[in-house]
Amino acid sequence: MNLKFHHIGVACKDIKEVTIFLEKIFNLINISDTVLLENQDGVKVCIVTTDDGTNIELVSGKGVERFVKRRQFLYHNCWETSDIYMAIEHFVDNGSILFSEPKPSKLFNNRKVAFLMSDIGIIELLESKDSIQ
Amino acid sequence: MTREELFDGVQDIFRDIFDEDDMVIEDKTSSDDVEEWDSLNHINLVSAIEKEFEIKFTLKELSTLNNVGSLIDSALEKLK
Repeated sequence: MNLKFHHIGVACKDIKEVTIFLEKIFNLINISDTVLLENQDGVKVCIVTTDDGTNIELVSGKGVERFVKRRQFLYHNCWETSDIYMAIEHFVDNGSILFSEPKPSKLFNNRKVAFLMSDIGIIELLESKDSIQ
Repeated sequence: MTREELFDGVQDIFRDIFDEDDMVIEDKTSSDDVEEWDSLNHINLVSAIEKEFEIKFTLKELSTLNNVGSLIDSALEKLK
């Protein structure tokens, strides 16, 4: 299965506050707009990129409040794939549960994302740029 | 497997996920009764039940399993 690491998801209370922290620590080469996700209880997301190409997705809102409360900030890892449906099947065949079907994501220019629960926590799958139909 | 045996197994899973050794569930127990039973823990519960009893729920079923009774009945159906 062709899976390429794309980003880690970090739960936070205030995206702006954490972005300021990250700017002090890393050399950020990009900070995306903060996007409000539709139908997701006020969840907002933003992705920052460090100078070595590492992406960190910051997520705030009701959906991640519990993680923040427990100071469990790292909460998902995202993998890019050329075939999101085959990747889902691969994870499900190996005991993971799909809990969010592939949907276009505003944060990734409408590339599809899906979420699964796996033995290594929450997995986000992101279709690669060249696989958009 | 009888419904009672399945129920006992599911109760152990609830105790493990919610970290309450003396947690007692009933068929009507739902997320309204358990503060920590949010969407993430719902997935954790379903995932643990799938693994323990070697069954699979569909994505569509996940949203209909909204109390202990429905979880058990659906799992029991798959074990037949």
